[in-house]
Amino acid sequence: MFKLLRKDAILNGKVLALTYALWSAFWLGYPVLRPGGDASFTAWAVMVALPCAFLPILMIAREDKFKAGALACSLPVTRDAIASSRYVGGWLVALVGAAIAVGAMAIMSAAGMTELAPPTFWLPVAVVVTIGLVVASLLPFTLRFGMSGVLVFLVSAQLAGIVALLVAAMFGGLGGLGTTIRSAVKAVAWMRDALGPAAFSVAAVVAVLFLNLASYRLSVWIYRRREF
Amino acid sequence: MTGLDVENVLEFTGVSKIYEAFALRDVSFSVPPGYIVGLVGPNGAGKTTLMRLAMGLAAAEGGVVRVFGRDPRQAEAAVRARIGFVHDTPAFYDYLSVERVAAIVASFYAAWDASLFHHLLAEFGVPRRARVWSLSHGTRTKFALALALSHHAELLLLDEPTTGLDPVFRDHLLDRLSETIADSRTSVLFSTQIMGDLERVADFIVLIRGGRLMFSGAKDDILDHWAVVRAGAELSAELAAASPRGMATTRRGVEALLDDIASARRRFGDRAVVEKATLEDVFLLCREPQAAPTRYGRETSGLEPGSSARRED
Repeated sequence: MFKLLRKDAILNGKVLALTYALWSAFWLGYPVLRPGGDASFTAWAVMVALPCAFLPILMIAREDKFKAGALACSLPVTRDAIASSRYVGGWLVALVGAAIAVGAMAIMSAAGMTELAPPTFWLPVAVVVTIGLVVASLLPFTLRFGMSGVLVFLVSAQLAGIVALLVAAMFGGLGGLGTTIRSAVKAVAWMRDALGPAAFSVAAVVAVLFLNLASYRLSVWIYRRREF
Repeated sequence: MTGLDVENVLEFTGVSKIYEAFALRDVSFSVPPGYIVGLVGPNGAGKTTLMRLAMGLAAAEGGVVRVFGRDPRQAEAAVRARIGFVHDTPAFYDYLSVERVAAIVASFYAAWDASLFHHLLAEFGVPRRARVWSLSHGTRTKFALALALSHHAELLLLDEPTTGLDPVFRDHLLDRLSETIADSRTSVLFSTQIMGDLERVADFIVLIRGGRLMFSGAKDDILDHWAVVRAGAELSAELAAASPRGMATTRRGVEALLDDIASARRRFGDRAVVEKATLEDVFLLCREPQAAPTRYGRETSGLEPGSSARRED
């Protein structure tokens, strides 16, 4: 596992550093250039965590670009180890990206350079949940089908959304769909209130980790079937 | 368990693999320890597929693949630690330098020999600091060969390693392969379309065509006992009745490949040209699948390295 992580660090170190730098400039510049917005620090952190969660895909896509997946699978490592290194490495690059941006923004906020609302207890939970949902959803497709798998997944998700809207409009009106979404949000809010912030946070993080575990199992299963 | 504890380091038994445009069907042959086996066949015959199956990069749909007595898809890490592999189109991380790629690969092998690797780079003329993308196809292959030879692998799987190499280096590489198996613990499965390479170094030949095994056996057996009969068209029927391994019609008549030169001389010597077959003849003419795979290696004959193998059938 460590050797695979080291390999990915060597292969992607420069690209990741460049990406972190460019993205940080954009993310940090956004609230400075648009002062007076009503965005909270937590909402801003979620906005940052979302693209960071796609960084693991960048790493896998780069390996596919050079057709070097066959090289990795020709080394004396198991497919399970490769899949697990993708998850561990993926989480690391996403969390590091989010941590760099959030840390820099915290410094800027403290220095009075932005008008973001101060960070709350929910910030780390929101970041972890955001990254966890994206990683768990996309990595199995990426490992099996490469970048095209991600595109197929995203396009399929969009098409599914369009179909859901059409069906809702035809049979129950869009209000029905809105009611469903609002009900789901209310259910989450009810759980938060019932459990209390601390227990709810732990439950959310544990749920995301279990989702990632299930995603990892699926990835191992399908990656073992990938042929080079 | 070492490679010498098993009868054959690599065994394909009734292996099938089906793709949309190509199918490998019922292929059986083995690679005994301490020998070079040449895998030969035209483009699209299935050579690369067999290499990938042996590496566990693809899964067989039928039959059994065993490397060092184990399934390469199940014991993938343990098996690949003992294999040196050269892909037909070696893929690396192109934007890294040769040294950097080697450092990555080396970390995965407990038996990595850095001094041997640097010696091989110098011997093969691969620049250590060059970016991989700047290497020519031939130099990439040399780099892949240096990587494959630097961890004291017990089995070398070389997929058309001599393609694109200049004749001088090809010659040099073949010498090195011969030296490599001199320890009697290293075996080589070596695919190529260059018959001269096989004549120089191979102990056994495996011919596949269209995904089917045409022949597997000892090279010396072919060169000593097989015959090409060149005759006029009037002998066509008689040659066809002599159970040839392959026949072809030419502008001058017919050519037939027979596996018993003495018998061929007795039957056709006065009416046709009967010559010892070359591997080129076998490659061109052998089109009939072997009825039963030739068995060779430790399980049948207790061959010693360098001796001539005998077929059972």
